[in-house]
Amino acid sequence: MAEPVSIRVEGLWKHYGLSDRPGIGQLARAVLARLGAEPTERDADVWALREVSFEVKRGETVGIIGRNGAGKSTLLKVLAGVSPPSRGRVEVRGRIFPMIELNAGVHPELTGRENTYLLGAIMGVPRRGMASLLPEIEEFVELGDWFDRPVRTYSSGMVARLGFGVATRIESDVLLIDETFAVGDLKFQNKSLARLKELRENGATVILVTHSLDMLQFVAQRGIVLDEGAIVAQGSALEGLRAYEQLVFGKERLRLEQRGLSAQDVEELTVLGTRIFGQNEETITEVDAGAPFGVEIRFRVHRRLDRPVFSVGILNATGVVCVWNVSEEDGLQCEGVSGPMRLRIWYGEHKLSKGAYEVNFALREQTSYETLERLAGIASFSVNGSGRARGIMALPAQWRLHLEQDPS
Amino acid sequence: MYIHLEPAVEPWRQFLALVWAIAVRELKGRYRRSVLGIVWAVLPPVFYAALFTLLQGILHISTGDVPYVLFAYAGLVPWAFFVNAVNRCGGSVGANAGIVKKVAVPRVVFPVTAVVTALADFAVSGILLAALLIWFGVAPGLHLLWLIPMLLVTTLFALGCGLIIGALGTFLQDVLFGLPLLMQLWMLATPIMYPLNQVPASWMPLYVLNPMVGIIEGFRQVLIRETAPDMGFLGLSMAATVFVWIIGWPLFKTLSQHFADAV
Repeated sequence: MAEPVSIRVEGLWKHYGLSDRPGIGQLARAVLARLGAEPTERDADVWALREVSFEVKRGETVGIIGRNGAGKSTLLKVLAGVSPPSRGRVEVRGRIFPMIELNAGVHPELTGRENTYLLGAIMGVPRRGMASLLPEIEEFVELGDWFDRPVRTYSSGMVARLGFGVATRIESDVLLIDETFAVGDLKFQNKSLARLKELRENGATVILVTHSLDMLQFVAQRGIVLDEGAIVAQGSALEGLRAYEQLVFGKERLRLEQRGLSAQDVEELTVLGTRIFGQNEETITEVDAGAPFGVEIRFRVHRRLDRPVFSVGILNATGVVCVWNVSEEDGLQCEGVSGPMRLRIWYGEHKLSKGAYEVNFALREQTSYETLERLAGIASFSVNGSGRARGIMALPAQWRLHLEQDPS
Repeated sequence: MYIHLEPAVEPWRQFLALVWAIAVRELKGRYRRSVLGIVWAVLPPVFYAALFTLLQGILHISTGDVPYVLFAYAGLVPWAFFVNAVNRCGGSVGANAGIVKKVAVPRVVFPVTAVVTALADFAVSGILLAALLIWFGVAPGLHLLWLIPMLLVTTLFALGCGLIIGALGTFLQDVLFGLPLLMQLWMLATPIMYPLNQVPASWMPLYVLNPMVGIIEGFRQVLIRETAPDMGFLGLSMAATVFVWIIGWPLFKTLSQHFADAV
């Protein structure tokens, strides 16, 4: 016989707001709506989840990925049973442990030990049961003397550790884990991952919502990709990853194309136009991996500049400054300029990894050391290439493996 | 539709354990960083009793052969319990947002816990009341057994009101903002500061519709007059209790499904 089903979701739709079922709820809704106090946006068109269906077998670990607002957290809430489905059917078998943020019910004035009992009671573990688990928990969370101090004196990492320690020591059949999973230092993270594996081997079903693609690949067996409330792909963890990357790139490319390169007028200068160009002076929006490209900025300064210094930075989609060049440092000297001009910066090669980028521009006056203008996102482009986008740089490398003589 | 199979916990035991755990958390946590601690639980009715006694010197409210302080305090203690219970029910869901949003515990745990913590404060106030009764030479006796059904009616009535306030207040903050004003008004419409026989006869038909009349008068009769409560008034209170539950329970049940989306 096949493994029994642990979670079954059939045609789940969810919108926030009270249910449509008639009865006192509808009456209450009518009253609340009239008073202008409907719970959240109850726009019939705002569906947080649309026609979501999937099954998870006992002992499986499934990763749910999607961009912000894709409905991941809503799905976890529905699975946890705290938020009712608007339509469809959701079946969950066994004790659920929702680790959606780990501080549910923690009281700041109580000690870690007292809060442990409280968290246990919330999870349905009687006091006696918790008492026998306590030594294990105390050891796992590594709080030492802090375990008997009020939680209000804890750092946020310590609170999270407490929550995670309790969560994973209580036997549960279904674990719902939100991204806060990766708490504490690297050592604690690894310990948590090891504990997660142990739980899985004991037959626990794990639903993991994460932004970390590495985590997904490492922990999950299956991936479900959500976008705008609907499942756009599901399959193996790797298939999920691929689908997610496609999705993110597609959306970002669309955003870049829609964004016109319009003139920007600020106090010190007027930007007339910007473009990314390739080897043959042609305007491009996509740069091939490693291929040379340049950024051209046409602008007019509003006053005479004695010794202007220009800076151009390239930021990736997460806002990391990958490259930052300063004209003077690169050998461009100019004095006493005014009026309209065209500035070009040429990168003979680049090691940017696949993804979407934005260009920042700054103008400084060297004689007075004052920064005159900073302009963010004056141009954008994407870098194409094969393989997955990992890291901020793509460095070609050679690998070798030598087998050595075992000395013993 | 959400179906939870084999949840592996006995609902009733979990319910009681959870009420206990949250109530203990509230009581321990609330007074841990205050100098007066549990004394705060006794202070409001004591304060009001002192205030009323002061006013009585000006207004000359007659309470017959019963000392006014005793008269006022015996009414204020059950009243304070009722107000406390309803107030705490109102904020109980929001105060436990962390749990509400993450764990599927029965939602009614929160108002029930609120009433339990109010009961604890009531017990502390009760000790002072007992001391006062002994001081004024009121004899204890079997009639005190009437306190059990009296307390039961008061608790159920408070919880019924609390369910309504808690359910609506979670979605509509105005309910919680308006509650203290409503309670002040309600106190003036209840024989706490003055005895029932001072109420003009023409007001009585309307006045007795206040369910707290039967409850406060009942407590006084048992504690001070050493007799059974007036069954007519108490009957009205019980009817009102049934009424608030008929409204409050389904209202709370329905709205509580959506608490996670609202807090």
